[in-house]
Amino acid sequence: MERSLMMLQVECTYFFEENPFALETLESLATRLGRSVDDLIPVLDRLVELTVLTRIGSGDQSVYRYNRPVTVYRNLRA
Amino acid sequence: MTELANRLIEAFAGHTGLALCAMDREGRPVASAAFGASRGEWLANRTRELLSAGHRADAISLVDVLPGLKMFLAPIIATDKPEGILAAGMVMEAGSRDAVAAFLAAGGEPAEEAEAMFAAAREIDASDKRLLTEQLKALTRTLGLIVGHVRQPGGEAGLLGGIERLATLINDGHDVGELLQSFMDLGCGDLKHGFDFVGFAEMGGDECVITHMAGNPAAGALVGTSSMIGEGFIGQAVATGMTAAWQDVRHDPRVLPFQRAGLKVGSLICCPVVRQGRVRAVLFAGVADGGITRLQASLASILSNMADNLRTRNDRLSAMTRQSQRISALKEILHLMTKAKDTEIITYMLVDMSLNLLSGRFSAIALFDPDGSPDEMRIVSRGLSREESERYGKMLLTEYGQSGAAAAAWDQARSFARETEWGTVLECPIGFNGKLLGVLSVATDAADAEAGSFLAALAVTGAVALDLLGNRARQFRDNVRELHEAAAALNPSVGTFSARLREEAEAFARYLELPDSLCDQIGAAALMIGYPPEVCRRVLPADEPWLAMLEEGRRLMESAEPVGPEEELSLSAGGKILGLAVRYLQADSDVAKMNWHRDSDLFAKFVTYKRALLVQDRQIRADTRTQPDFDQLSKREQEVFLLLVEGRNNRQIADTLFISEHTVKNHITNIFGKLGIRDRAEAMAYYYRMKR
Repeated sequence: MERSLMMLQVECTYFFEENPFALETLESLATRLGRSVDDLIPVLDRLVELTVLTRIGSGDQSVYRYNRPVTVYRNLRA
Repeated sequence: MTELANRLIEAFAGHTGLALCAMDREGRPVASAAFGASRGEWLANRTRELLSAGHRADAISLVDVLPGLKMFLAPIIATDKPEGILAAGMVMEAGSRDAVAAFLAAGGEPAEEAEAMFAAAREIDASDKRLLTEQLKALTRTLGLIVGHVRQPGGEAGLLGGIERLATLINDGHDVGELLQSFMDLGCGDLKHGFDFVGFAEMGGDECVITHMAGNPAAGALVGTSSMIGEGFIGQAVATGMTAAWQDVRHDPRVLPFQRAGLKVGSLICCPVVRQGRVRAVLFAGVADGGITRLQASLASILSNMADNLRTRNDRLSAMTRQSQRISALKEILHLMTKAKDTEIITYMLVDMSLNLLSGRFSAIALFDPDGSPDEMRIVSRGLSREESERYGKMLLTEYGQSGAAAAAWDQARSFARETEWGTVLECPIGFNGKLLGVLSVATDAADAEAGSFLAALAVTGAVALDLLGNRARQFRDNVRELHEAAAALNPSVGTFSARLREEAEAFARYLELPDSLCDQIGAAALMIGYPPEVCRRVLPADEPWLAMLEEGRRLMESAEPVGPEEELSLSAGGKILGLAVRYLQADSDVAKMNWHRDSDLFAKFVTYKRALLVQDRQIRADTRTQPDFDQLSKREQEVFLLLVEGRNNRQIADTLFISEHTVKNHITNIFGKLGIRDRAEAMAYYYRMKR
C-alpha cells in the first residue's frame, strides 16, 4: 500500500470514529475528505475487511457506516 | 569446458576411434565423446575407482581396467596446475583379444558394459601406443591452454563482463525473475554459459515452491509447482543443503516434472541458498544435452548467491517501506489522538488504529478503574464477539489484575507476546505516572519486535491522551461551574433558568445516547446561556463546539419565532438539543406549546422522550408512596445521587465532586442500601417519584 493510502486509511477511520452515525457513499466520503474516489476504493475495502466499516448495498449505491467496537465490563469474581 | 574444447575432444574421438571422457580432478565428467553416454560414464566410473585406489594421474599412463583391457589417463594441466583428467579407451595389446574374451567369458567381469567396452576396444601395438600417447599429450595440453585462457583476465573478459552486468541488476531495483532472465539473455551474448533454463524455488513451510523460471519458454509452466523436502532434485538439494549436479539424467524418473512442462533435461545442477543454517531457496539450472561443467557449476553458484542477495535486499527494502508507512501513519494517529475530546473516541482510536497498523485477528483495549476495584475492567474490542471479549478480559484480569503476575512487574512501553486460543497476541500495558491503566492488545501473525514497538508507541500515546483529556475536561468543568455560580449570584433567575436548561438538555442528549463529550458540551453551553459568547470566548477555550451551541441557544432564547425546517437544519447537533430545551422551558414545560416545526424528527423524538417520562412517572406514582426518605442520605450522598440520576457515570461524578471514583462507588452502595434500590434505573424511578 502506498504511503498516502495508509494515511488515508487512518484519516478515514478517524472520520467515522468522530462521526459514528455517519452513513456515507463513496462519492460523499470523497467530497468530505477531499480525496479522489479511486484513492478511497482500496481504503474502504480494507476497512470493511478489518470490520471497522460495514458496506450496505453494492456498486455505486453502497453506503458505508462505522461499526462501533464491542464494549463489555468484566469482573474477575463474576 | 568451452565449446572449442568440446569440439576438440569430439574430433579426437572420431579420429582415433576411442571413447573419451574429460573429468574434473575428482573424476566428475565435464565433457565426453564416447559414442554413447554409457561408455563415457563407464570410463568416468573406472577413473574414480582408480583415483580412490590411490592412482596418481599427474602424468599420462596406460592402466589395466580389466586384465588386458586398458585405458589412457592423461592430466589436463592449466597454468601449471592439474585441472582435470582425460580418460581414453579402451585399448588392448595387439593379439590379446581372444585371451581377454576368454577371461570375460569365464566370469571374470560380469558387467554387460565391460563386454561392450571389450567389443569396441582397439588393438594397439607399441608404435600405436607411442603415437596415441603423443596425441593424447597434445590434446590435454591444448585443453589445458583453453581452460587456462578462460581463467586469465583477458580470456575471461566476456565472462567477467557478463557477471558484472548481472551484478548491477542487484542495485537497480530488479527482482529475481529479471535477474534470471538477464542471465539467460547473456547466455546468448558475452556469458556463454550453455544453460538452457534456470529457475529459482523458495521455501514455503515444508515445501520448496518454484517462483521464477527463465530460458526455455516452456519453463514458465513449472512456476508454482513444489517439491517436498527430499523429493526430486530440488527437494534433495533442500534436504542436504549441498550443491549437487546430476549428469545425464535424461532417463531419470526425477526429470518427469520437467519433461511434462516441455523441458528437455540432459543434466541439472541445484545450488541451495543457505542462511543461518537453513535452506531458504534453491537455484537450479539445466542443459538439454551433455553434462554440467565446472564453469557452469561455478556460474550457477554465483547466480544463486546473486539471487539470494537480490531477494534479501528487496525484502529489506520492502520492510523499510512498510516501516516508513507505519511511522507516517503513527505520527498522524498521535496528532489526531491528542485532539480527541472523548475517552470513548480515544479507546476506539487505539483499537482501530492498532488494527490498521498491524493487521490481525482482533484488537482490544482493557481499561482498569484506577481508583476502583483492581478486579474490574472495561474491554473495548474489534474482531471478538461479546463472549470472546469477556473470556479474553478474564484472562487479562487474571494476568494484570491485583493478584496477577504481570500486575507487579508491568513495564510501560514494552510489549509481550502471549499464545492464546486466538493465536499469538501482542499485549502492551498502558500506564501513566507509575499507575497501570490498562492493556492494549492486537492478535497478529507478525508479532515481531517492530510490531511490538508500534503497539508500545500507541499505548504510550493513548495513556498521554487519556491523561490530557482528563485534565482538560476537569479544568473546563471547573471554569464553567465557577462562571455559572458567579452569574447565579448576580442574577438568581438566570442562574436557575440555566441550571434547569442544563438538566433538560443534557438529560435529552443522554437519552439519545450521544457521546459523553457532546453531552458535557451541551451541559456547559446551557450553564453559560446567560453570558454573551464574547465573554465566554475570552475566558474559556475558544475552539470548542459548545461556543457555537451557546450562540445558537442564545439566538433561540432571544427570539419567540417558531423554529422552521431551514433554521433547524442550520443548527449544530448540540444546538438543536439545546434549542429544543430552550423552547420547552419557554413553553412552560408543555411540548404542545413549543415553537418548533412539527415535521422535525428530532422534535418527534423529544415528544416521545417526554411522554415516556410521563408514563414512567405515572406508573411510579401509582406504584407506591412508601419509599424510604431521601433525607436519610448524608449531604454528600444526596449530591452523588442527584448527579447519578442526571445520567453521569462514576468518573464524571468523581470529577465534579473532587473525590475518587472509589469513594463514589462507596457512596452509591450506601445510597442503594438506604433507599432500597438495586441499580441506576431504580434510582431514576425513585428520583421521579420523589419529584412528584
